Amino acid sequence: MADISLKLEARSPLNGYSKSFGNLRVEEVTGKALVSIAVPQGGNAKLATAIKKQLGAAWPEIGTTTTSPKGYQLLGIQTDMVLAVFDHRGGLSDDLIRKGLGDKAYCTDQSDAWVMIRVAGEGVYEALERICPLDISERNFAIGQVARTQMEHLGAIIVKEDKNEFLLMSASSSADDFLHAITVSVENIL
Amino acid sequence: MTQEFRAPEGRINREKLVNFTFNSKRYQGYEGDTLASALLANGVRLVGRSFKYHRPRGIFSCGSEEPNALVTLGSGAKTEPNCRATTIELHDGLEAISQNHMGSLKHDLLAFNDILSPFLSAGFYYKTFMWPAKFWEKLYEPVIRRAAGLGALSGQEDPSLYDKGFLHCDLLVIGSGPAGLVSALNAGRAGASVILADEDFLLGGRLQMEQMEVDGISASQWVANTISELAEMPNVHIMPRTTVYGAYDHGTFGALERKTDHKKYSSGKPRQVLWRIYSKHSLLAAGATERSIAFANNDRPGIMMAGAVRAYSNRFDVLPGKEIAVFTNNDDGWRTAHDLHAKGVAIKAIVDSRESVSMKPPSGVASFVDTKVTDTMGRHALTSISLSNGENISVDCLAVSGGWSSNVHLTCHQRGKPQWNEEIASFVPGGELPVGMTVAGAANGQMTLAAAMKSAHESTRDILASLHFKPKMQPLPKVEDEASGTSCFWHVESGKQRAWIDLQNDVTAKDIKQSHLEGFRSVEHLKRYTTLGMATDQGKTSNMLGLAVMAETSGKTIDETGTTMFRPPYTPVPIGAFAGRSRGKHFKPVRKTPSHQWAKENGAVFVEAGNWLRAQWYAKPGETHWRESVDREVLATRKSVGICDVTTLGKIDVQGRDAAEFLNKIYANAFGKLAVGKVRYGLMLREDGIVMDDGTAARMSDTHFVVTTTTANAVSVYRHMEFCRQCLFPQMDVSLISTTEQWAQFAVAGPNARKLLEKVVDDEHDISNDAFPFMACGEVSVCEGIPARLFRISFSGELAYEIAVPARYGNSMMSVLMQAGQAFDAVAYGTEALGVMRIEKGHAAGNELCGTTTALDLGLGRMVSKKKDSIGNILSEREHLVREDCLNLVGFKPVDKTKGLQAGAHFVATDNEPIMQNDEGWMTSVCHSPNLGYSIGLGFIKSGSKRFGETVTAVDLLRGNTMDVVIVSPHFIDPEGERLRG
Repeated sequence: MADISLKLEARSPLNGYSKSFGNLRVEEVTGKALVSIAVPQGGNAKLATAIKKQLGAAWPEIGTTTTSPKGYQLLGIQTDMVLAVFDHRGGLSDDLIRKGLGDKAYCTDQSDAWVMIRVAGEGVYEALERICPLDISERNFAIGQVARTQMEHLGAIIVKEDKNEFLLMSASSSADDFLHAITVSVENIL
Repeated sequence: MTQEFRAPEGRINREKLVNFTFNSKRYQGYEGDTLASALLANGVRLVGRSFKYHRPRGIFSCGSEEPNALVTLGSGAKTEPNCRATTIELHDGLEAISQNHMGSLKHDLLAFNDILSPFLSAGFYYKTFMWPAKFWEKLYEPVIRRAAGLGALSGQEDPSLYDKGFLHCDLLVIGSGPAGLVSALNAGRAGASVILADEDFLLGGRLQMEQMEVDGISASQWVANTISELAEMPNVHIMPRTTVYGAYDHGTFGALERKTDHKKYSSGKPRQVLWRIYSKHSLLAAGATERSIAFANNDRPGIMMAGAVRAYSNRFDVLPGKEIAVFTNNDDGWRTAHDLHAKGVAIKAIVDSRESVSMKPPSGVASFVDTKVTDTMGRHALTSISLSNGENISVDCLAVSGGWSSNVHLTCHQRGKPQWNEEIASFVPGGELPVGMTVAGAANGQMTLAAAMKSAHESTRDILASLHFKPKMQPLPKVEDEASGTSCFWHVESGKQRAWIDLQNDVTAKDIKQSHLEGFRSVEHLKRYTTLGMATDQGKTSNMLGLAVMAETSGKTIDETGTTMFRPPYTPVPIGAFAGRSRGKHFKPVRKTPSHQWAKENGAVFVEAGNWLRAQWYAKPGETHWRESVDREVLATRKSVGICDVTTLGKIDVQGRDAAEFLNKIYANAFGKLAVGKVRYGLMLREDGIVMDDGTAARMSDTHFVVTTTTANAVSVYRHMEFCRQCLFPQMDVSLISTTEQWAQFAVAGPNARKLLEKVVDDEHDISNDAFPFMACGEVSVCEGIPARLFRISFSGELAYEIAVPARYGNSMMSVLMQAGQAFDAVAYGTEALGVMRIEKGHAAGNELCGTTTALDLGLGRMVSKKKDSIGNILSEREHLVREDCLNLVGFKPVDKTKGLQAGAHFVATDNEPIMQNDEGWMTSVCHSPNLGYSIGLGFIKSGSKRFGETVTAVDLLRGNTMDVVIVSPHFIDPEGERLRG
């Protein structure tokens, strides 16, 4: 019989890290669910329609994001697959999506696989150019764009959220080193 | 010491005095000085000793081409040798010392090398010190290295910080001289994103070193105005102190920015940043380098490049001498005389090798045409020169100009081949340039100011058009072309006297002639035989001279002789800068398991497994040896229950209507009929039939499998599966995604595993043996509703499960499992105990799946289903792989059970010699079995499964161990599998 005194506690990869460096702020984004939505072969149109209906967001082109009034953000990261980001509501996040999309999509919960770190403030471009090989200048990487890349040998996803604000994502197991890469970059340009 | 050699004008900040030391003596200079200019201002002429002969040497140039004035900066761990005094930005507290002398710089005991010079000519070390051979490493080489060399490293870890970064631009302008500034200004105004990089701390290039006018104002003022405008443009990134050192593929450049080297304290910031610059186009405006003329004793302190003498005067207010002569083969040398004469310096003579010239000397200055300098005098500094007309002239500085060579280096980094231009006596860029590169100004052979600006103007217009900008090009600045006549005159016959070509590596004209005599015809061979151009300056002032002398000697033209290959870096780059911040524990990223914190708090000793840190064992108080901990963990697990974090095993979500068929293809065994809620062990073969990896596949639904891989192969298996999905079976409806990081997974093993889990798994899930038998799987919940996955699989051979929860609960889950296991004396076990138990059970792991073994070798031949097609199926049947005496995975135990087996030992028959021909196999894995009380092993041996009970010899020649072992079944524990089904 289960011992009801045994309780599990959730902890994010960086335990809610948040710190200001001059005008720059580096903080872990928590409480978000992340679900991959893959297209069954030949089912692109059906899935796009279903997503629009269920989640309220358009299917994003690769390199772009779409959002919906229901609070979903879709990241167009590769052919035939998007990542859905939304507020975590407990349980397995892919179940929530799967219920709405049925067999029109193959969904996998990725909420715990990634650490999300927001870097925001003046100087964010100078800081990120120390680790991000992509051209994320204002003229080349608009608000709402997303890209896959690598930073300090770690696979990463970068989303431009606002003028001086980026969301960075990388594997949760190496979250400490990813954070270190970011904070060293910030400290080096102050 | 007072700065007695300062002139009244210049581009330094006289408001700010700077204190520094050279060879522990205190000096003062000004902000804006280099170490070289400050030393010259203080009358310091002798600054170093030459590499081989320990000849006294002074400052020769005023830029990064400097061959002589190498000093060591700093002290202790921060010691940095071989720094060019001509590029070191003077700052308060700077400490510099001279190099390569025994005793004081002035009285160097190793100067006797110069007396031995007749025996030390080019290639002497290839011909001498040959016998006895063993003396080379122990005697000759150490002595030679002590006697000849440059500065020395501290031998300590470099405490400085370095960083790296990435920059992008439409146009990278390399060099901020007249051509670079014209280009950057026009591109910036057109709206292009521009990076303007220059190795100097003062932008402007030669415009800062000349008395010229641009648009009716002084050149330096025009530079200041231009930089000011560029600095206001958000699309222009100005990078002084930045050397673009290499041109790489697709418009990518390497650049080193010196961030804090010019400051007394770095304040915790990186001293240098190594940039990777991605450019759509580049404009190389790197200017030209002046070269010398070879004549007898042309290396004395006080003999300098004419352009450098002029630059020290115009930019730094420093007069390199009080009585100066000029020796030139071109018009530019005359300008040095004019500029310095205008400052009141005594110009003793202008000596021009040409038969006739149109230049006029300054008023009252003697000039000698068709005349050469034939010798010089002065032990530690120049005192006089001798001319070919028999005159001797007393001077303390000789300004030499042998013409200018275009800085083509970066144009050659993608194997571009420079072309000889006789008219300007210089190689200019030729052949295929790096992608997107245009060359302008003196670097392209436009040696005069107006021509340089015009070429940059036109090039930039074309570049901007190619980048789809519509520039309104500004009018060209109004400038005048200076006289630029030149001649190909390289050296003065020096008889028995030495005429120096490469000052840094002590190569003379005679050395070059000798190498030709000895049969070295290629310029590349000449370089390597004489070491011409192989020093830290890479021969910037000497290569042209050397190959010209070679051409003369061989009777070829310079064009026919060609140049050696220019390779990155343009100037030296510290190794620390290449490493950047990837040092020490940050050398590579570390992956931590979800229960890392718990493990750390509970005595875990970690081991690196790929990038993962895994708990190797958990040391308890009183345990003094790792074996105590591991034995305890194994015994406790087999007796009751143990828990191990196995998150690192690769997990791949396989979904799709064709998921089962897809697994049928990538696994050798069948998966099509695997029932939902069941797990199956899977064996994956390579195309060639060799085993690639093993793991399990759990069927969560008709269209959903969870595949596991070994930790080591998690990435390669996923990559392989993606290749199969996209390239081999694109018609299949399959989707893959890694979930390794998503789930924290724990093995719970031992007779009480089920009892422990029943305390954790919510009551609505029946995990009894009937409801959840061996190889069952399913989605469950734990601790009142937390979603989890449960797999009834066993690596240890015990009744065992693997339970997975979302990674956010991983650390807590480990704690909860241990808490639930208290009643059963549960233990946490690490990878060592895991290894011991799998060897006891006879399970293969990485040591056995080593890339050379087959399913048949592993005893799993029957798993390769012949009822279906799968990757590797056909080639696994190759004759050699299925021969009668193929290797078999079996167990081994020592005849003398007090001895420990060793992995890597090879097996031979007991009466055979331990030689390759008698080799029958090898030991793959060994451990001490605490259950059996002696050492056991797994290994491959020919026909092993038919030889149980036979004794063979395990030979480990590497470690000097030989012992007799008995071949046994690989299943040391529970061979019938009763425990895991219990």
